[in-house]
Amino acid sequence: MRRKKEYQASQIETYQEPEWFTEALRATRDAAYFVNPVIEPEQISLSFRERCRKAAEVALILETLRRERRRVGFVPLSLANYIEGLAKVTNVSLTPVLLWLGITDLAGFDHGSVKALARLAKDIEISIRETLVHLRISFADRFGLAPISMLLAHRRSTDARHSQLEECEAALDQVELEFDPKTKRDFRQISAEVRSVYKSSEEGSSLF
Amino acid sequence: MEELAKRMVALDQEAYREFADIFGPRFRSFFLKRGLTASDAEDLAVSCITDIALKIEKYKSEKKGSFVAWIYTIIRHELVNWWRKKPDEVPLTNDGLLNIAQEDDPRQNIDIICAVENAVAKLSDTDQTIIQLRDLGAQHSYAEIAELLDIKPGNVRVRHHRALQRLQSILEEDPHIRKLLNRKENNDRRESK
Repeated sequence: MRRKKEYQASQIETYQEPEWFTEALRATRDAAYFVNPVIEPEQISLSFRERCRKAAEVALILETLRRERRRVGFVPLSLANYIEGLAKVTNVSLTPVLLWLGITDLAGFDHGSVKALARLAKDIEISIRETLVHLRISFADRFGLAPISMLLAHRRSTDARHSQLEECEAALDQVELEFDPKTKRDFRQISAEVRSVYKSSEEGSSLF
Repeated sequence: MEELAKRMVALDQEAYREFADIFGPRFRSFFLKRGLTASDAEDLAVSCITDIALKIEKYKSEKKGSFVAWIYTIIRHELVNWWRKKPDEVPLTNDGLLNIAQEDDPRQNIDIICAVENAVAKLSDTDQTIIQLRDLGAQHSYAEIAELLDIKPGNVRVRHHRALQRLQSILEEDPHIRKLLNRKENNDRRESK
C-alpha cells in the first residue's frame, strides 16, 4: 500500500502538462470566468452600466438600419435623407446613434462632421461608392439644382445595363460641370476624408 | 447564452439590453485583470459591447457554449489591438497574449474551448467537479476541494492527476486539437532548421 502511494506520488511529481494543454485549460478557464466572474455590485457604477446599455442600443439601431439598407439598396437621395428615410421606415430613432458618433447635423458638411457621417454610413454598410454618390447629391441639392430624381428622369437611359447608381453618377457628372472651383475643391476634400474613414476600417477588418 | 444570441439576431431589444447587462461588467473585469486602468477598461468594454453586438449575425451556433467562446475570442482580439496602439505600455500579465497575436485565425480559440468542455464532459462526475474547481474555475486548493467533496486531500490529488491525464488523451484525439498540434509541430520544425 505504501509502495503504491509512493508510486502515485512520484507519477504526480513527474507528470508535466504539455504547454498546449495548459493553454487550452487556461483559455477555457478564462472563458468560464467570463460567464461567471464574481463581480461585486459596487464595482459596477450606474454610469458604466448606462454606457453599456447605450452602446447596445446603438448597435441594435445600426443593425436594424443595416438590414433595411440591404433590403432597399441604393436610392438616389442625399446622405441625410437616405439615412433618415431608413430610420423612418424601420421606426427607429437616430438620436442615440447621432449622439454616439457626435453628429449634430446629419446634413452638415463641416470637415469635423464629415468623418462622423462617413463612419455612420460605413456602420450601416453603405459602400464607399454609394456614400460618395449620396454626398454628391447633397452637394447638388445645395447648389440649387433640380432634384436628382428629376435629373435622372430627364436623362432616363434606354440602356437597361445601367444600374440606378450608374445613372445617378452619370447625371451628377453632368451637373458638377456647373460647379465653381471652390465647390469642386470642397467636395474633393470631403471625398478624401470619406475615403480615409473607409480605408482605416479596411485595415482593421475583423476575422469575424 | 445560445438563446440570447438567437434573440439578438432577431433584433429583440430586451436581448440587447441583457447582453449589455451581462457582458459589460464581465468585459470590464476581464480588461482590469489584464492590466488596463479602470477608465480604459470601461472604455474598451463599452466599445466591445457595440462591436460584438454588430457582429452578431456572423455568429454561427455550432455547439453548446460556443457563443461565450466566440465573444471571449473577440475581446481577446480587441485587447491585443488595444495594446498594439499603446507601444509604450507593457501588458501587466502576459496571459498568452503573444500567442494570440501570432495566431492567424483567432477562431481556433472557439474550437479549443469547446473541445475542452466536451472532453471534460466525458469524465466521471467527480472528476469533472475536480477539474472544474481546480483548473477551470477559481483554482481551489486540494484541501478546499477535499472538503467540498468530502474526500481526503491525497485522494483529490491523485484523482486530479488521473483526470488531467485522461483529459489530455481525450483532447489529443480531438480533430481541432490535432490540427493545431500538427501545425505547431510543423512550425517548430521550420524554426529549428
